[in-house]
Amino acid sequence: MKFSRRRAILGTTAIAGLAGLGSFLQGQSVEAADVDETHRPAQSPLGLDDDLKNPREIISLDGRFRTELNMMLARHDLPYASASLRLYEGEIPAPTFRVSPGDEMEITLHNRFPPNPDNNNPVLNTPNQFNSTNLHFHGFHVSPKGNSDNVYLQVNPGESFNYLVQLPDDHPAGNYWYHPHRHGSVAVQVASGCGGMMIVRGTLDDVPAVAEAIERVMVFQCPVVDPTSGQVDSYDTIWTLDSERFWLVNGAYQPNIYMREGEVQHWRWLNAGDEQFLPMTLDGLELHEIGFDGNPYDQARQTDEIQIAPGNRSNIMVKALKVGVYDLLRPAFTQGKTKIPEVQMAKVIVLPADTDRIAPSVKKGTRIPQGPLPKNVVLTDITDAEIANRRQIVLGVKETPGMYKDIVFTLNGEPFDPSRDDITAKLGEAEEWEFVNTTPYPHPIHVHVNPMQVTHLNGEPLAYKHWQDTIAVPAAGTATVRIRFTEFDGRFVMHCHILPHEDLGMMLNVNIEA
Amino acid sequence: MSILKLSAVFWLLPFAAQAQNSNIPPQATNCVSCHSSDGNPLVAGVPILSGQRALYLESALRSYREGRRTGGSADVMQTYTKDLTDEDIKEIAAWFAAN
Repeated sequence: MKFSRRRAILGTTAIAGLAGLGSFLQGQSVEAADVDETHRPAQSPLGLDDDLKNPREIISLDGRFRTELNMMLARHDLPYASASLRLYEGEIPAPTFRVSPGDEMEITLHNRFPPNPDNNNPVLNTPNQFNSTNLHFHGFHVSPKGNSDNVYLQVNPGESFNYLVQLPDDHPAGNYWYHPHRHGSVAVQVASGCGGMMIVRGTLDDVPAVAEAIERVMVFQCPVVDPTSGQVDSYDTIWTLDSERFWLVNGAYQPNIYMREGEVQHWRWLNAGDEQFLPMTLDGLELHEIGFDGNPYDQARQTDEIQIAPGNRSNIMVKALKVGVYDLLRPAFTQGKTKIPEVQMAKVIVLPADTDRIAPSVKKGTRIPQGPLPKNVVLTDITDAEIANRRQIVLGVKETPGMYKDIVFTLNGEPFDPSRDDITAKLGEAEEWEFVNTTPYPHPIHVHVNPMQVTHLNGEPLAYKHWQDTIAVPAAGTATVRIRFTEFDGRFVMHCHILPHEDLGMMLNVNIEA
Repeated sequence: MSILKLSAVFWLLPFAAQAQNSNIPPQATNCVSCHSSDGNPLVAGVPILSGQRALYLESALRSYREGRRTGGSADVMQTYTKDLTDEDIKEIAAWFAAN
């Protein structure tokens, strides 16, 4: 789809004059000088009709990223239900944002939901005010203050807020994502399908084997619809871990993904679901992981299974070996004590190398990156000598009559309190944290602003100490990480990314003092 | 308690829910969250307590409490044992050994 400058200007006028109609503009950037370069429609990277489409993209240009983002109720005919969902731009998934290190991002978030039915003082650490929201830039190494990645803000129905996020010049290149983060409504909104990929361009894209491969963005979501109401408004519906979940890939149910024999494609995965882990397999093809949570690995690592907990992302080079049809599966597994059934995510169809179904002009990678991948200064190993402080953070749950299900989730024995500084640390210092999980379920703990270098799982040192922003702490086990607080002072949070656990209290505040 | 409520409690606070319908001593109710009431855990990686001797269990619990076993899952056990008395430890060990 092409937009002329005139149409873009008309769009600006329409938004200014008729704010209520903003939702019909599908969030197209209205200030970009050249809309062709800043927008890419949803499309198959191979140009095939029944091939999985990448979500549409909004792209930065000349150091600037600018868009409107309308959060609205939209009806979708899903394969298993017709549902009214809370979505950015009415789209599932939301558009992909593609930016570069050093970019300035300006995003005007419009909350176009109806008023909250429960508009009284909400009870902290219970589900509440499902139509109030805010915006989080998951994994970004940016300021948590003011109108940047500040999750203490609340944008109520009918309100708008202008976010301004400055990416540092040395930001790692990889996959990130954006989603709502208002405490009390985050699980319902993300479980509804509210979220989109953010890609930071850079060094990883310049690796020849990556640059020559076609790229797929794959956002895994599972709107958990209440069958009686056709909505995602009942916390009871999403609460249980084994509620029936139909997984979508870029909004499509069990889509086809095409490859050519001998081809290597670069897949960018995001688990944008609310609760379930995704230990994924693709038997018959080679999987080589080159990055995780936006942070490039030191080198490509071949694997048979890729585990992405809620909130995690992965960069994978997938190699098609032989013509055939293969299953991208989330095999049945046990999450803590709960058996979770197998899910077929997609069919991967490998065509002959000389197929005439794909134009010869479509690029075709055939190589896996060899040798070291580009380094990033933010991801410099944290040494023993650098550790200024060691802390233990205990994950728990306790009965609390009167709260939702009569429980709260806790970190160090206490549920979330936004007024309390649970951890105070110094800008420029590094710390070692051991997460101790006293529950029989794994918890993916996400720390905002700074990536973590994972050193131990269940006390066992890792041979390769990789970087993550969301670490799955094993059930009745431990994970040890190191964090260096660089560039950005201010308050932010860490929390469980099984989002009902966050709403019910498993979150704490970190205050980095300059 | 509604069925829904009870099922949620079973998932998240099984020690409390299961304790309602069994003779688990109060000191052991936290243990069954991961180790199960019969000592055969559903959670991967959690040690089987069924069939262990009481003397061994007592010794292990004291080691956790006194910080002689540390690191990894021992740190989980330390949070649960730090407030146990010697009498609590004896009762827990005796109960699992009898299962």
